[in-house]
Amino acid sequence: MQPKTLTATAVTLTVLVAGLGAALWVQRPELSTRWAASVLFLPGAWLAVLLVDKACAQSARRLKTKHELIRGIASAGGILSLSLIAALAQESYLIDGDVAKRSVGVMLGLLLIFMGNVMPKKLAPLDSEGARAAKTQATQRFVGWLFVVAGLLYATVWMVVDLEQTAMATLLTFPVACLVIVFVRLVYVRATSGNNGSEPSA
Amino acid sequence: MNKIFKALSDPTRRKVLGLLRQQPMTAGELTEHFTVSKPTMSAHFAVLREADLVEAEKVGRVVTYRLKLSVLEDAMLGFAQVFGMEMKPATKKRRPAKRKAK
Repeated sequence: MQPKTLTATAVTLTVLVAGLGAALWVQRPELSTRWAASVLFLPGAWLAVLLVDKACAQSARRLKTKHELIRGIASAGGILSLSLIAALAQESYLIDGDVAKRSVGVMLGLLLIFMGNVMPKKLAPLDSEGARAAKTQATQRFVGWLFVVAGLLYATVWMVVDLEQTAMATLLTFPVACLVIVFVRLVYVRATSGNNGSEPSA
Repeated sequence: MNKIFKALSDPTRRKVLGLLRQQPMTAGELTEHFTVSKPTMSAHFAVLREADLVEAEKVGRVVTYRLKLSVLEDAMLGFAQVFGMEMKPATKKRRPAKRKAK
């Protein structure tokens, strides 16, 4: 995403989250601490970004770091706004409590998928031999796959499984994801062995 | 996404990505695995860089390539390798030439 578009998205989501938090504060003033945290969290993150931006010297690395931070704010804004929309809909009796719980669970699953998908793209600094970088990359790739598969399972559990059994089912998502990855890797190695000499190492 | 499909459509580029899965390699090391000329390999590297599937780091005169695949791109590469896909961009159907009026 272009830096300007990303900044505009992050600002819009910050305003949306603050607005939703304020609306919920009016509806349920007894939970004021919770709503105050949701209203102030993203503006606080913006303040930290601005302070860090002013304190650091001008460089390409600084711009990249700032871009990453703003992307983080946009992601957090997306998650918070969806959760607050679900809470507001529940408070306004548009959806019942079960649907709100399920939607938050599905969102967490989607978040895991998103985080896992981009994880292998973040490269560690290349050392002189490259061996350590290769190991780090292989680990990142495995963890990325684990998060994506676990996220898919987690979201599916919250969509399908009975609410009373979700706690137990969600505990199993990561072990099952590990097994799925190992199985898929074995099938893949078997399918590509002797194909073009490009056998995976991870 | 079109750039990624284009990058993964070629068997040579897929093999480059397969080699980079094992470890980061210099341009020279990668070229040793292929019979094609260096300019052709450079063109392949450029396509992979443009699709953001590899990262090139230049130290002196040596360019080291590293894999930079998201999980989705990794899955697409896996499918392409297993099924040997030749993903070609969509082409318009040719209309039959009009016959000249006699």
